[in-house]
Amino acid sequence: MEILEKGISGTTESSDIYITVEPNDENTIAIDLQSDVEKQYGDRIREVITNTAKNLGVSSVKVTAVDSGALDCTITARTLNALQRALGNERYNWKEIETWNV
Amino acid sequence: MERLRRTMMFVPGSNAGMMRDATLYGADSIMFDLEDSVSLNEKDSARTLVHFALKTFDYHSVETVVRINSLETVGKLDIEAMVLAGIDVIRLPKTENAQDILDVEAEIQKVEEANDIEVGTTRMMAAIESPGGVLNAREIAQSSKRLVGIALGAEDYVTSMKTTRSPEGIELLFARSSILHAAREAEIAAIDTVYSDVDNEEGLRAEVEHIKQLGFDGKSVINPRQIPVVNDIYAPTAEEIQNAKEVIWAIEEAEARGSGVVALDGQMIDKPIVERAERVIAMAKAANLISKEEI
Amino acid sequence: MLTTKRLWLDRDQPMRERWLKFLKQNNLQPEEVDYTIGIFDDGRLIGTGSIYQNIIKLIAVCGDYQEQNLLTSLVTELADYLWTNDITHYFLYTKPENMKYFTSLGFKRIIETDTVAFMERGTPDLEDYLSKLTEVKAEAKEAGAIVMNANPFTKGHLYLVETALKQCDHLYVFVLSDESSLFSFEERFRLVKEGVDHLSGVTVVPSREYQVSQATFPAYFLKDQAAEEVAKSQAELDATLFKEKIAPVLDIRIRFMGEEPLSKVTEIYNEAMAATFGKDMELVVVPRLQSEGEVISATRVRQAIEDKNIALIKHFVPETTYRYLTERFTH
Repeated sequence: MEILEKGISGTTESSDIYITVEPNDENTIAIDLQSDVEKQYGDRIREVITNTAKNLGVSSVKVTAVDSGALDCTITARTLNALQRALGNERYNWKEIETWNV
Repeated sequence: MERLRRTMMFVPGSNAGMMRDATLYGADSIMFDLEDSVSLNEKDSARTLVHFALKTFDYHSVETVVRINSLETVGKLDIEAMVLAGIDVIRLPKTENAQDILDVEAEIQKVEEANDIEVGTTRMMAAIESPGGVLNAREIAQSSKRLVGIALGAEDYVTSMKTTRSPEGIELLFARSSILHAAREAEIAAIDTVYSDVDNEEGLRAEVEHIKQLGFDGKSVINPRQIPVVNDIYAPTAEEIQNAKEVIWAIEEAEARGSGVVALDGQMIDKPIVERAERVIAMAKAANLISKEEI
Repeated sequence: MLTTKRLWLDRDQPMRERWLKFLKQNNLQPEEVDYTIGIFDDGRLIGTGSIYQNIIKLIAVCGDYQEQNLLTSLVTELADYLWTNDITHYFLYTKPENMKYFTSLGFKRIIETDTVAFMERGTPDLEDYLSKLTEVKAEAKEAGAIVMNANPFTKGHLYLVETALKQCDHLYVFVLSDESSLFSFEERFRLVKEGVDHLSGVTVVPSREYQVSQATFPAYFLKDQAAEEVAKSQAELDATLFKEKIAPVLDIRIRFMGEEPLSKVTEIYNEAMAATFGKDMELVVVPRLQSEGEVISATRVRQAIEDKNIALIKHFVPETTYRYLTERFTH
């Protein structure tokens, strides 16, 4: 599934992450991450974003993430929300989300 | 033993930073808000954030409550996301009558049934914020077995009553008394409204003393700083604890003797005295004034 | 304001410590109690009193307060408690100088030593007991007495009776009335009576609360667990009561004791008796009867009963007791 619209979620407040998702010309999940904890947690943040997108069935998206020390569950929540907004989904399949391995 | 609800702390559903730390402040219940504190275009993000927080963090013995939006707006989506995250209590935004409770209950039940969750697992709390709601407090309190309590929301109420809040709280006396009577008759909790002036500890103290004396189980708080103040006022005194212990000892002794009549220092110990003693002991334990093993 | 409250000594450790400290300040040794109350002045413990079985004891009041009012209010409160528990005849321990306060409450003096006074209220009382004793009084110049629990009556007890009888004209055997033994008073009394029936010059009587009882000598029943000082003061009182009240009624001149070489409390008791009796009465300690190198004692009989060792029981007890035991334990 490709992302064809723009979607935004989150804030730049402490412990949060600000996620923007946009269409990607290439069929990849491209992540541009800004984080104070890039060195220590950068890979993990990218992994969580990537897994969330994949779990939702998204294969093509450009993600811009501004992290302010968000925990995994917040990264998942914000990424999912941004993608759903871009996809125009109001109702989530929580049952399926529960089976995700992020 | 009934659960303590001295403090129910508001946590805005949009605030990622407070999700995890909410348990640290010592509130008996945490109320994640999806309603008034969340702007219209952030309802979905707050719902998502709270869902994942509930799934991720261990709130231990702290009761998790979520205030949902009305069924006319996004309430149904809130209910689904919260029930599936395992929330303890769904709090209605503005309860006018028993039907409001039944409508939300029907939605909760639908979600429970569709997801193999035992019907009745999710509890409910009503929030009364209007003159009509106050007058219907009794039918609201008795509308559902899921109800664990009624909370008063005073801000809208005083406006509807063409008045404002005062330090003495005379304008809320009828509403508070009505809610208390309804709650006590239905044997559920009564939780008082928030005290908005976070910097005024003295004012908060006076108000908590007032509502404790009226009989409220506790108070909604909007800032962690308010929690110790409320808990402190609800903490029993050393003398109250000693008396409560003695009541419990007298009962234990009478039971050991096989005697149904319990007397202590010339006073008959009847059911209300026992209940009060048990409540004091529970409060004392919650406040770490006595150890869990002590009695 | 003064308030009176129950003290939960067995559950309320801090309160127990306060109580112990208070007793110490008032020169009282703690003893086993069933029920205790305290008087508080604004949270300060200023008076206390306790009940053990049917005995009011360990009464103390802080010297800063008017003693009489507090003492009488403590005792009235405790007497009420006894009354609600259907106890209508009860005892009171107090300091000799406080006896007057309780006389006005209807307590009668039984006996006193230098340190303690022993009183009672309700009937049947000491007077009734002494007049009962008078009814069975035998004509004798030199009467003797033995106080025994006989739990149950053994050949050892019989030997003690026979030995004593050789040294006096008439012997009174007091059987302990206290019900804290394997055999009930009724059983023990009957077995002593049957066991000495063949002897002339022996009268068997109950001891009631007036000799070696939970009231006069509770330490005796604790089998060496009580503080020595406590046991000593109790033994002294018990001996004084015997010497001054009971012995005169029956013209008893000699008190016989079975030897208990291993029992500290018995040793204390013997010393107290010797000291109390002085030159007025004689104390004779009779050595134990040994049978084929073995000491006969009621303790060993009870053990043999538990072990169902019929041969040993038969060896230890007289025919009368044996018959009773086989009846009781073969059913």
